[in-house]
Amino acid sequence: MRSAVIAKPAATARHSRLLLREERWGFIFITPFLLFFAVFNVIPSILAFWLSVVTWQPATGATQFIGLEKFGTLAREPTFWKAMENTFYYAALVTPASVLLALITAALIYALPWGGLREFFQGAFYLPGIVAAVAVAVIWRFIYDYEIGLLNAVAGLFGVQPVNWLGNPHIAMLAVALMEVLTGLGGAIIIFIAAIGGIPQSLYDAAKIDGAMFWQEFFQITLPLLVPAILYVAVVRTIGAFQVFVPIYLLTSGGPSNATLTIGFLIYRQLFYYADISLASATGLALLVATLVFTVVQFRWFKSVVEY
Amino acid sequence: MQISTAPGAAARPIGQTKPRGAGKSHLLPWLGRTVVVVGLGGWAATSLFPMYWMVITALKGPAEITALPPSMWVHVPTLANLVYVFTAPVPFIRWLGNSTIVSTSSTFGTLAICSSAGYSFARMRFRGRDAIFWSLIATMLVPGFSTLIPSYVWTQMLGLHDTYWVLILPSFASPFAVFLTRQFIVTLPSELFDAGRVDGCSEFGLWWRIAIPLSQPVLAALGTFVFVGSWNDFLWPLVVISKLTMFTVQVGVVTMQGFVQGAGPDYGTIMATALVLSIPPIVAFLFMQRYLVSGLTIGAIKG
Repeated sequence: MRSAVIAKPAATARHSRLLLREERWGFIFITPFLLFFAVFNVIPSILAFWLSVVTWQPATGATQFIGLEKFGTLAREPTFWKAMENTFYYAALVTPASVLLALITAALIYALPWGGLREFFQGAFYLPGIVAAVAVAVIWRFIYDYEIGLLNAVAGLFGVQPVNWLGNPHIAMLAVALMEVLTGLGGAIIIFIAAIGGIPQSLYDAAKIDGAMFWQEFFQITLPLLVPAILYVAVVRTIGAFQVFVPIYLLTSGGPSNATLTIGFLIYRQLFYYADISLASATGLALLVATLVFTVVQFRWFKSVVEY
Repeated sequence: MQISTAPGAAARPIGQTKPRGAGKSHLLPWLGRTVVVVGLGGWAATSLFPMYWMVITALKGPAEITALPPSMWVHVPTLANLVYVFTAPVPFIRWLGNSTIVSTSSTFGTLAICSSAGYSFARMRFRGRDAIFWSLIATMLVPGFSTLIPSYVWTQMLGLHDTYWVLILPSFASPFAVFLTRQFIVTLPSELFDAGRVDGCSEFGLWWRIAIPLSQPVLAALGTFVFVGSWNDFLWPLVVISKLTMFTVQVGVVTMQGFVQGAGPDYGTIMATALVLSIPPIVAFLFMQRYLVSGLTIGAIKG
């Protein structure tokens, strides 16, 4: 934008003075943020590695180097692998179901001809997700209650035997995932609606001339062009699912018999039940690796879908 | 149909402008539309039902709560559960106050600190800008649990545990907030800032008088995200606060369930506490809904 003034030497001096001023102020504006980021983000990230290779005494601050011992402990620990497996299982339940349901719901909301109604539905699906996870979890604990819960009461009306939703090791994780899927659709729906709105009208006009039906339009135009939005939602949802904590803490405490023990809850337990800071840090790093691997896999997979 | 008639706004609810691309539904006939509206209505009702269930359970007496089959309506409404929450032998009002102080401070601090950083990344040119920016974005992929333990240890070393500071200050280091404001400010026309410079506006003035007023939509969305996120946060306060009077309301409510669980959980009280802690986010949502939609999509679509 200032390239026009470079011609005269006097203007060049002024130009570089302006650039210097801009550079100085650029740093001034980011310094407060970078300060907080360094203290509360960079230092803990470095500490994560350090704490996993030393033992640290909270009382005295004394440390002793133990090397990679805790990673070995972790690799030999069946509960760690169980927690990993549960975390993957939970993410595999939540992410695809959330993406699919949000996509269908968004397409249907978008097909509505009245803007007011669309806004209403966007809000109706977003609202449950803005309520505290603690509130949502305790509501569902009541709904899932074996004796006086709503779900078993409804099942009873149809003559179905009461189900121990949170107490049966085969069902508990499904119950937690169902809650999460039904509660957390709102953000994804809003993102998908915006993405559908960004698709050029001309593509649909062309399809109309070719006599395409609603579903043909959806699968041949809408869906392929939504891949970036789907990838974004899938990645964010997976990272979130890998860190599930509040529903586990409040609904099952990782039980029954570790059936819902996730990595997040395991880290919490290592810290507060066993006070093993090194082991908990090592587990945190394992979670980081798992998350990064999965994010890369998702990017690759979606990329192959787009190119095909 | 509606698409061709330009002044057809009268057919739509008052105050609604015609959404972009509304005509894409032209191939969905009216019968299909009715089915879609009814279907979506039922689906939305399912999604909202747990919240309805929370409200009516909070207003039910003990007999109605344990009645089988459970009634879908409150026959004898009572405020006893809500009254108990505020009069129980726990510092409930103090917890509400703690949460209010923490969430409000986090919100205003994050807005000031992260929006100025976002402005800098969007408008200023300096060495290493893009490298710093993209490194920040990359850290958004790091799960919070990976740094939970070191953050816990580090804030303990700093002597911040059991203070408001430990709940407020870390929220200022939000790459997401910087990203959101940066993505918005980058779309503002640069002529405005050039004109400001020509008129002799200081760099601080350009930020305060041009960028901030024009960024109000994104700041409103971000403020709501930060407030609701801070209010709803459970894990971090659970980990770093151990003094009963310093609890946030989320941790307090969960602790309180330990108090009230004598013979089986007292769902009336639990739903009443859940109701109380749901109100601020719902109010924020109702006031800020139109900003939230744009705030949610800035990151996903334009990014």
